[in-house]
Amino acid sequence: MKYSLNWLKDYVDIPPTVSPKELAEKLTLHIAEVEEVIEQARSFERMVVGRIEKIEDHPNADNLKICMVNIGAQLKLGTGNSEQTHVVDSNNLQYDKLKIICGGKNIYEGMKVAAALPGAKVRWHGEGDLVELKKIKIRGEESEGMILAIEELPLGIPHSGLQTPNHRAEPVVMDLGSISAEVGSPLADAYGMNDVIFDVENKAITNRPDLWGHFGMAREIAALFELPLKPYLDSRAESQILKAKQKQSTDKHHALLQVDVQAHELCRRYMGAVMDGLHVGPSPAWIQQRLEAVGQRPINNVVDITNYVMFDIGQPIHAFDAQKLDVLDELSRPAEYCIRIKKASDGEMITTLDGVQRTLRGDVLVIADVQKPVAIAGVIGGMNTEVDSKTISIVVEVANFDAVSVRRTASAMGLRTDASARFEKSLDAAQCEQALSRAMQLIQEAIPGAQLASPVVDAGMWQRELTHLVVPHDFINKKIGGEPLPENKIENILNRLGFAVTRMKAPSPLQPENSSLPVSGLVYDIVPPSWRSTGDISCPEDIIEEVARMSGYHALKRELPHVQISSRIHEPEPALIRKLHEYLSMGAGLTEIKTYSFVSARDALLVGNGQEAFIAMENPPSRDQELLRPSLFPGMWGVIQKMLPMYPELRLYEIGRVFPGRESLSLINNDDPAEFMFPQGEPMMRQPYRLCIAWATEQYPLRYLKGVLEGIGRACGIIMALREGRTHNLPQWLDANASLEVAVSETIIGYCGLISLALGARTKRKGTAVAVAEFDLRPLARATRSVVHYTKLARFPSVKRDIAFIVDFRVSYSRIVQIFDTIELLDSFELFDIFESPSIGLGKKSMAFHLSFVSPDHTLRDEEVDDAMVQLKHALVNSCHALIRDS
Amino acid sequence: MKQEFEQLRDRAFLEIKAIMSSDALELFRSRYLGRRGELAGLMKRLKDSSPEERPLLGEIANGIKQQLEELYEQTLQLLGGTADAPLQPAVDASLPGISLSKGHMHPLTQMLHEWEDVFRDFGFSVADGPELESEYYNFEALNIPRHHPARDMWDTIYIKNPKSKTQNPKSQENRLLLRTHTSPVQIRAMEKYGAPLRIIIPGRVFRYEATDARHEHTFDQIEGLMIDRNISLSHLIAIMSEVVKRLVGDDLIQLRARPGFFPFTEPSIEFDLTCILCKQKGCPVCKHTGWLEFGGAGLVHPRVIEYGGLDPSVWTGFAFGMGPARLAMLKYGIDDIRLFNSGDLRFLEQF
Repeated sequence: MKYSLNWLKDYVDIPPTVSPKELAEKLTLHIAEVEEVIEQARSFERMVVGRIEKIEDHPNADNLKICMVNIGAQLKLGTGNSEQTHVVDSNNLQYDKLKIICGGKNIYEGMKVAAALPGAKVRWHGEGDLVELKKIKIRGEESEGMILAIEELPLGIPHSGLQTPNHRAEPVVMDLGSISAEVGSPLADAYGMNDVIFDVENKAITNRPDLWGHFGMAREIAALFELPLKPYLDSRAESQILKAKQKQSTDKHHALLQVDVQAHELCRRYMGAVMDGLHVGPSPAWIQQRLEAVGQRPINNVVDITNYVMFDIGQPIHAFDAQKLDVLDELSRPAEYCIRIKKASDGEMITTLDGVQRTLRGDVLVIADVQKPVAIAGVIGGMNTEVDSKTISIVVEVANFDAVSVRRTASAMGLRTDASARFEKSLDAAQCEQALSRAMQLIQEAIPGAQLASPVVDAGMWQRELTHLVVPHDFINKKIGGEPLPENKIENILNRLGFAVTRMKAPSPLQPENSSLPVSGLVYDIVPPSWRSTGDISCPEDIIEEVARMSGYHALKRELPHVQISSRIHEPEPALIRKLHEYLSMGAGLTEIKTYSFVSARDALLVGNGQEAFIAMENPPSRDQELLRPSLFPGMWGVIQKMLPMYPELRLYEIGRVFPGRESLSLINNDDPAEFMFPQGEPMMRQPYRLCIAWATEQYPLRYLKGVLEGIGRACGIIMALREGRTHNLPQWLDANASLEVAVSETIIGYCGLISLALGARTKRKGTAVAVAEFDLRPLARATRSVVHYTKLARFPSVKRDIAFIVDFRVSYSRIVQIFDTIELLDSFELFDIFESPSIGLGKKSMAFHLSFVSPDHTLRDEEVDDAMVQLKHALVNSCHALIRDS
Repeated sequence: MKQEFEQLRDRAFLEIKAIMSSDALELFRSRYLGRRGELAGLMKRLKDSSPEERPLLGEIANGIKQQLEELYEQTLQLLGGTADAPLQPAVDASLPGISLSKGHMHPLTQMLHEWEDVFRDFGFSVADGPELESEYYNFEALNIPRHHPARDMWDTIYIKNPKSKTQNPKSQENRLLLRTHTSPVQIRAMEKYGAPLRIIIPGRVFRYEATDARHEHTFDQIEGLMIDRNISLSHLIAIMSEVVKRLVGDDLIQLRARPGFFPFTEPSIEFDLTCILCKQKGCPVCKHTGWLEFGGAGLVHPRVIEYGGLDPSVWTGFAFGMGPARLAMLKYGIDDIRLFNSGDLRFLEQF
């Protein structure tokens, strides 16, 4: 919502000493954040209306002219609302006349132009950044300013009367002939651009329908600065509507209006009146200017006035062309208009003012005449009753529609209008009267001959209702904290905002449900004003907010709470994840990546076997992000492909939730209790945290990867079992011949292995192999801690030996380990060399180990170790045809 | 004899490298190069060597003499030229370190850890909740009824109902969505742990939004909730301003509270931070206000406490929420929010 300072000043005399910046800060600190302050005159600084007196040829340039421009004497270059006032410095400028070099073709002597003086900020040819104008020499001749071309005028000038600039070779100078301002007046004043606009984000005032018009904001400003608020209507306008309502049945009228509210629950109040004697045309300049200031496009006087009232008091208004309304009896005099507020017949059609033909559902509230729907209530009017240039009489509608109904209709139609945005916030039905009076008053002022043609109708079941809130004095101070506020300060704040406050000693009988509040001592009985009673103010906490914001959150004394120590909550998963981050990034030297939680349907195929139902979105964030990621692999794979051409080696990991959906090759053990529940206690879809690790390098990526996994086990105090297991039911991205299961306490939690050959072939870097692991974290988080048991230090020294042998390359390391495990004295071993080479034979590999022998009860003799070595060699030869190499 | 010369040379080389003062250098000169120095002494013994060896040894001796004199001259210049500054020692300690670990933690993870640590010091525990959430927890239980305009404050990504053809009204009432904020965990935590409660909830949230350099549909939030007796606005603002001082590491940093609106808090406030870039002198980033938006907060709405299964006449509390991405962008001068989820190592390796 944009607020115009000039507009606000209609209702509150903001002292001139309060600068726009100060006002914006006050509003930000007490009401709602002002996102931007736009001072219209800012961009017009040092620009004036001038007149070209004389044109001479430039001696050194054929395309340029030397103009003598009269800029008047005694220049004042500031305007009312702007912070500073500039007076032309006599030292810099020759008075009243400027010599300006100009390249415009359409200039003539006597032409009124927009002249920019040195110091003005100008966008040359309407392009690029603003540049500060200086006195310069152009081809040897001094130029003391600039005559502005159309596209060089500052933005924000009303569009009417401006030719649209086309792309031209030469700039066309703006001709100010049609503007009445005198030579020498500031250009901002000539265009009436002296307003200051305060832009407040709509989200910040979602709960404040009263702030969706200028009067409401003026009311807050008046309360804030302790200034009087002027009445919304002057007494003349007020008495007019009173009279019009009283005369309902007695007077003779040109027209009669019947309003039949059939859907009472959706329309609490409907006021209307017929006006005739109209001439549709442009609205007065001041109305156009104000609408432009708040970002509205002027259309015609009738429409502009309805819009104006909406931005004035926040009440949407609609005008129907009365002649386009069907009536019961064409011939009856006075004409009898009939407006019905009812639910649409299912399937009924209406073409709305945006030109769209819409089919209505039965739950849509419409405004209808005797034949047809003429508007969708609270959202948009119908084309069939549009006010156009031929309109001479109108039916003005000022109504109060149900917020939920308007919102439902608007969102079902995908049509949000300024009207629906206000109605859906629940409006004060009391303001209908004021809005109608203002609309009638403005129409009569703007259109000579316009008059009220019917009695004013006020239909509906609405009645003024007062809400009472019972709020103890102590409750307010307890909730706010800091220094307690005295009674009169609280009362003063609330009174200024329009709340009626009565001091009581006992809890009010009016609201027994508040009895849980502490009721000793002083209690206030508070009646909020009607414009705050539509949902915004409904509980004692709402009163706290009013008092706290007006006295100022920034000024509140800050006190840390005193609390009882309670046992800390410890969630194992966040703790595990934190530990993993530290180990993986700091210990293992991996780099953490984050990828989106979305994948394309094609990428999802990498994950499963094509049979699963992944989770799709109704409104995915983009076309190639249709599914929730069922695995971290697709994201990881995307990064690998992107990064591998740039990096010879990659060591990456990601931790995040995945959404496996149903019937996928999920790792989930269905016996596990669900992590999260629906409110009714049913289990929610699983969305486990996973860890995905990738290691891409030329040699042994899988061994590095396994090293990382073993390290995780150590860091977490558990054993990560990596075992050759089932080769079926693997995700498609894995190479079935080079994969292992990852298990914790006999539960399979994931896989690791080389990526499949088909994927591997897609990497751009030849010779680089990629190993990836992915597994669930929850079982890891829940696994028993600390499997480490202290073993007594060996009392006897160990004996070291080495062994090297050649075996068939199909003999796995794990097979060798099995053999080692049969040798009793062999305490530990370490593979320190492994290679394949033609020199040892095709299909063979050489392995070399450091061995360590130890006995728990005596110092080993050489012979004992020799025996063990012989035993080991025999076992190797017998079980896997090893060829022992001489050491 | 040749060996003796070489030993002398090696010894002299080692020694001169360690020389850091002109006094020591003078000692060195007289010891090796002086008329009664070691080299002169050795050269005197040349005449004892065999005539065949003598020319070769003489050449070696002269060579060493020349080298030592050069070294002496160089060192003299160095010492003279930098009378006050200490000389580089023999080991060039300024050579780059040999990196042991090439790992990096994501900048947002780092930031979340910093925040967790600070809040832990204030007695808050880390809690967690689902990213795929029900409409009930994301909106209803947070006092945002179905047809309330406040729902527009969050552009929401909804999950497709797999059986959309036979949509029953019940499932329509409780659609699944991607959580738009970490606030639903407030309700889940109250249900799970009761009161009193002090938790923070870091996590990923989603909005239905087109991405550009400033906007993301996927980002992180950190949420906080404290439930206890007699919690006041003053407590909330006090804790947050202490936390911010710790986070930014600057006692001069100020926190400003101003009115805001969230349906799940009453009163609601927004926090601003003194602009860390211009220190309130005014810059384009803070739009010349000197303040940066930091997060939203407020006293937990009594209805929300009730939805959490607690009695609002007994329990009160405050909640707050912040986005670390914005702060990280300011802190590190990152100009494109999409880099966080890009997996681009050229970006990630800078942290």
